[in-house]
This record gives sequence, C-alpha cells and structure tokens, in this order.
Amino acid sequence: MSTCDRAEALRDYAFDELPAAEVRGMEQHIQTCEACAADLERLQMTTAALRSIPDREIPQRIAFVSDKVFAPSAAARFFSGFWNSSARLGFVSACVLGTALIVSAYRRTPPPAAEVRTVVETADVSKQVNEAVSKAVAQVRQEDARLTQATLKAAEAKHEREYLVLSEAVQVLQKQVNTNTLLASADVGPSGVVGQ
Amino acid sequence: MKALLLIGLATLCFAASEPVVSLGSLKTVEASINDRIRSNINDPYDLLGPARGTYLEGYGAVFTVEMNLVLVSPLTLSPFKQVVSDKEISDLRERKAKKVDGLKVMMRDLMAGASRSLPGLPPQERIVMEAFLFNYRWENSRGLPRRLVLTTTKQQLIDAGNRHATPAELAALFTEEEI
Repeated sequence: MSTCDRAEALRDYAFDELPAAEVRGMEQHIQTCEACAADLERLQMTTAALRSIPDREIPQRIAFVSDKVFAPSAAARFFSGFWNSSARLGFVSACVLGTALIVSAYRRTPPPAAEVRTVVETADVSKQVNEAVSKAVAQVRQEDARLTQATLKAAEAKHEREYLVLSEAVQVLQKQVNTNTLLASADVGPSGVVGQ
Repeated sequence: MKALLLIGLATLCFAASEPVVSLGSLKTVEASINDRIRSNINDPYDLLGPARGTYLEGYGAVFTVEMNLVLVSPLTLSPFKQVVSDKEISDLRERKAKKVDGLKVMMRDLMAGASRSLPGLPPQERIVMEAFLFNYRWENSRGLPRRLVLTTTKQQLIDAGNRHATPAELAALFTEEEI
C-alpha cells in the first residue's frame, strides 16, 4: 500500500469516482509519484480480474452430488434422456405424424355431393312417410276388422239367443196345441159324442 | 181241415199275446191323469204332453206326462218382449218350488187311483209315474227338479186303500226320485 497522502484520491481515480476537477491534477501526480503509479497498476489489474469473474448467487444449501435428493426419478431420467436425444425425439415425432395420417385416412369419408344427398334424403323421408302411412292404414283396417268381427259375433250370439227363445216358445205352443187337440178329440170321441 | 187247424193256432197265439193290462184300463188312467192336471183352476199346471201309459210285462205299468208346474205364456220372452225382470224370474221360481210338493201329493193320489183302475196288473208289479217338468231357458231353474219319478207296487197301494191310510202313510210307500 502506498504511503502517499493521496492514496485515497488515487483509489477514487482508479474506480472513476474522482471529481472531474481533480482528475488532471491526479494524472500529473501519478506521473511524478512512483508509489501511486504502482498502486494504480495493481488496482487496475485487480479490477480487471474481478470483472472477468461472472456474478453468481450465494448457494442456499450445500450438498454432495451423490445425495439421494438429487437422484432423478425413472420418469425424469426417461424424459431427460428423451428430450436430450434428438434422434429419439425425431423418431417419436415421425411415429406420431404417421399415426395421425393413417387415422385421418381411415376415418375420412368422402363427402357426397350436396344435390345427391338431398335427393337421397327426400327419397328416405318419402319412403318413411309411405311406410308410416301404410302401417297406420293397416292398423286401422285391422282394428276395423276386429270391431266388425266382434260386432258380428255379438249380433250372431244375440240372434242365436233370440232364435232359441223363439224356437222354444214355438215348440211349447205346438205342444199345447197338440195336447189340447188330442184331449179334445178324446173328449169328443170317434163318433162325435162328447165324453166318450 | 187245414184251414180249421190254422184258425185254431192263430186264436191260441192271439190269446197268448193278449196283455194282462188292457189298453182300455191304461187309457182310463191316462185320462184321469190329464183331467186332474188340467183341473187345477186357481194355479193351473201347463200340460204340454198328455199322459202316456204302457205296460212292461213283469215290471208293471208306467205312466209319463210332460208339464210345466206354472202356466207361463210362451211369449213371456220374445222378440217383442226381450227382457224378463229379475223379480219375475225369482217369483216364478218360487211358485214352482212351492208346487213341487203339491204335485207329488197329486201323483200319489193318481197312482192310488190307478191301482184300482188296472185290474189286470199283478199285485206284486209296480206302478210308476214320471212327470217331465218343463222350464224355459230364461228361467232360473237351479234346484228345481226336471224329472219326478214315483214308484210303488200295486199291492201296497191296495193295502193302503183298504186301511184308509193317511197321506203321510201313503207317502211312505213310494220311492221318489227327483232328477
């Protein structure tokens, strides 16, 4: 360290902190004072060395690389290896692209012409309407036939009952007439004499 | 000579086939049955089939008659009157049920009379009377008999007549069947 009484001003000069008015006087002093010139040279070397070292933050924790905390997981190792390998990355990208192309080609349906589709749709609707109408008509006819059958059956049953009742009445009337005739003829007798 | 022989044989044959119960006596019983059935003026029976009598050799005399216990117009139910009320039906059934016993009494009486009107009938043979009871389809005939058959022997009836049996004693002599 210089014993010169201007050593403090020299340090300011070295770090460009000396006022501009004193810079000329300091430069003249350095040319005449060997001690200050040597100190300035050392300071400039030190400053240059310090500037060549990059700024680094102070580590929060100091640990050994072999510590398990720093050991990457299997997935991390895989992805680390994957991302760090351009060959793998390129191969996988090619696979994904190829799969996408195949799926796209497979699922792609050729779009039919709008006019044709309209005609087809119209034909489908017309067919569906016809089918629905035919089905409804068939149902109505079936229901009509069932009702007609039931009505006919009921009418026949009623007719049958009436016929049986009437037939029975006629039979009874006939029996009564026969009985009365027979008894009357027996009363009269063959010769026409009553009570014979 | 041959002709005389044939005439003699024929006479014997006819004499042999002469029934022990004459047709005339059967007709007499038939007439009494018909008259009796028709004589009930207050609540007459409806005689639908007059009495028919027949003699079954070795068995006895059988009389059948068809009747309705109540005189009902055949046109009670017809296309012109299509409904018979439930009350009419139940009333008719009740009347018929009440007349069944009366008919049995009458039949016993008729058969007792028949025993005296059938002189040719052997005493040990039967006198049977069967009444067919008619019911219309629309009636409620549940529980009512369709056929009533009374059977006894001539001898029992003659004995009962001789001792002037009461109606209850007379009833005990008959076998009754309600079908």
